[in-house]
Amino acid sequence: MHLPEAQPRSSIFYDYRIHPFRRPPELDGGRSAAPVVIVGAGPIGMLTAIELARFGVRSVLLEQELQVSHGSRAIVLTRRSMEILQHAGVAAPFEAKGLQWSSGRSFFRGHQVYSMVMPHDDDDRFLPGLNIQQQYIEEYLVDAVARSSLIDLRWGSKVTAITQDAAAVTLRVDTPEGDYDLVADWVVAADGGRSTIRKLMNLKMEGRSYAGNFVIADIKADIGLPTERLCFFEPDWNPGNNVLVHRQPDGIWRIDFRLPDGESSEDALRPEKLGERIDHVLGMLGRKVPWQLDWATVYSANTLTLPDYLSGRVLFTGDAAHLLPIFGVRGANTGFQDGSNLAWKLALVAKGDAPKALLDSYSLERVQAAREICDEGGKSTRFMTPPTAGYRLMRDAVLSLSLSEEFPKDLLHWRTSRAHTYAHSPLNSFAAEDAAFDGGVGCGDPLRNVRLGADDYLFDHLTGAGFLLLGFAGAAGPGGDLRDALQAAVGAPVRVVRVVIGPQADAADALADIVVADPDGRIARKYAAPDGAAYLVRPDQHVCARWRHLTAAHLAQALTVALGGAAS
Amino acid sequence: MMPKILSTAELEQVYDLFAETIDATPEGMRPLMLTKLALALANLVGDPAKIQAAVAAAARDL
Ligand SMILES: Cc1cc2nc3c(=O)[nH]c(=O)nc-3n(C[C@H](O)[C@H](O)[C@H](O)COP(=O)(O)OP(=O)(O)OC[C@H]3O[C@@H](n4cnc5c(N)ncnc54)[C@H](O)[C@@H]3O)c2cc1C
Repeated sequence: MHLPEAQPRSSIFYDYRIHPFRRPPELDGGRSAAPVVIVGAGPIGMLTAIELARFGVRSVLLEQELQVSHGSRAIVLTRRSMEILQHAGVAAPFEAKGLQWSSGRSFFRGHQVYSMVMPHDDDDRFLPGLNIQQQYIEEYLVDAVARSSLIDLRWGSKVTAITQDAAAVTLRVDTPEGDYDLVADWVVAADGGRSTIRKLMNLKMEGRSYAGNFVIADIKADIGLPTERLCFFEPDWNPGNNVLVHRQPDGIWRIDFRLPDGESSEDALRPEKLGERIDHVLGMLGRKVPWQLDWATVYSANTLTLPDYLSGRVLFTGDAAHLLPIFGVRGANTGFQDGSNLAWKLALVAKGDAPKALLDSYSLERVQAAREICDEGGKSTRFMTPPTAGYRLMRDAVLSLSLSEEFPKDLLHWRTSRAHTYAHSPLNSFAAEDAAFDGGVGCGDPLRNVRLGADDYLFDHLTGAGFLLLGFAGAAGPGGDLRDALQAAVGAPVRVVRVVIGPQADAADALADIVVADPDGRIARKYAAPDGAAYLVRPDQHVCARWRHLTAAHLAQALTVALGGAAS
Repeated sequence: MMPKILSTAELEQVYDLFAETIDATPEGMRPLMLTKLALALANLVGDPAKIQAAVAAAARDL
């Protein structure tokens, strides 16, 4: 019998709510009709369920706990994550609650040795970073899940066994009222870093784990500094180690520091010891103000990934698929990109609208992304937590030199999580046509936003679940071949949302699902698109084909490839 | 101030190469290895004024 904690967790800023366990039909001989079961209602499991529902696919979402995340955990969302949340229709509360920021400063021996403003384009709606506690991330997603009639979120339901054959997967689910079998066509393992499913299936991650423990402590304090990333290398009170400080909503501050080697987690979390170090940090910030501790924990850095995210009918996503260093805020942000990549493919395969091969591309694209992140994140990790004497000596040399020299300072760059490009995806086609563009957004890249007016951006208009066909029309509306292609898109094997972009908003009504007025040609310029050009965009907003001149026949070929069919 | 000559990617490669070479050298031999490295690089730089500037930067802020 699984008995989850039924008391709300304690927190000085967040009111935990207990979501009651509800007896499912399976305990009384019934059966769920959902083709997909998602294990784990963390941020990534929930986003995946919400995205599946947008494509009309039902899911059961199993969560062993009765409440959201213990502690603030992942506190920085990147611009790409916000765009993914906007596309899923759930960004508004994040925007209202989160603290957006774009710059950071690093200090060594009391001197500022590095500062960086992360690139921000006037065309972007969101700043590069948005700080928000994981409790809120999950709460807002739970609210969105509750609004959907296609998602059956089952709290207090813990998966304890899994078996599969060619036709289906069977999960054993333990609950406060006994256990039951749940059968699904597909299972998404979104059950976090300690994934039960990964262990039950005996799958091994590849990569490395770094020695060195870090403490995360969240305090409530009236520090009064702006939202930015602050890094202190080797402060006097913590020789050889470093400290990161981040502001969160509700007057909460994240303090993150490396422990001296050999010090145990228990020792580091003793209230007197932790308190003394927090006082040191506040002193360093020049803000010796009173504070209250909300939550503290110890973590270490990993660059680990499963080599394949697809195992029969089980798909791995988020921390269940990979464990990435938090330097560069990679955990949740990488997971959101996984979820957005997976959901549309799984939806089409579950509905029988695409061959199973489409799911192979999920694994291929996202394992590749995880490997790139392990590589980039590994560099930051080797700087932040030097694994050997050689790396420590190099790090110390760079810091010392950076007090008087500019040339080594780029080594202090913290390499933030970025949007990945699927340039080598098997779903891309028409490479020569792609190469014929002079700029714009290339095959495999995520779409780029364009500011159209006050609080009005291109992405605000690109709603709808399906592929997008962005057609660029001249003043007279789409003519000739583009007109035929737009007409043909209606009969495509999957839903293609037709977006006509042109100087005159009303010239294209009959052919378009969405019309975006581009009176100054701003969108056309960003996409390097002449009249008659078109972009075919996957449901996760990545471009999979583009033409300076589109014909209906080419559109059909590109769609076949993008659905995992044979290349043309 | 010294000019930045290596690209960031090249500097990163050098960083890893040096770190790994230090680790591969027995602890007591590391000053010797690093001094040989400094001499070898000085010879490649070939300009006494530049070498002097590098020495000054290295000796500062220890
Ligand atoms: C202590 C800690 C601190 C962190 N700090 C940061 C940070 O500062 N920055 C950052 O970017 N990331 C941080 N992370 C990582 C970040 O929290 C994760 O990357 C992110 O939550 C991943 O989301 P997920 O949905 O994949 O997994 P999770 O959020 O872990 O969600 C998994 C869910 O599955 C449920 N579950 C597990 N097993 C079962 C089962 N057998 N049956 C049913 N349900 C199950 C769990 O209860 C949980 O709700 C931290 C993680 C931890 C643990």
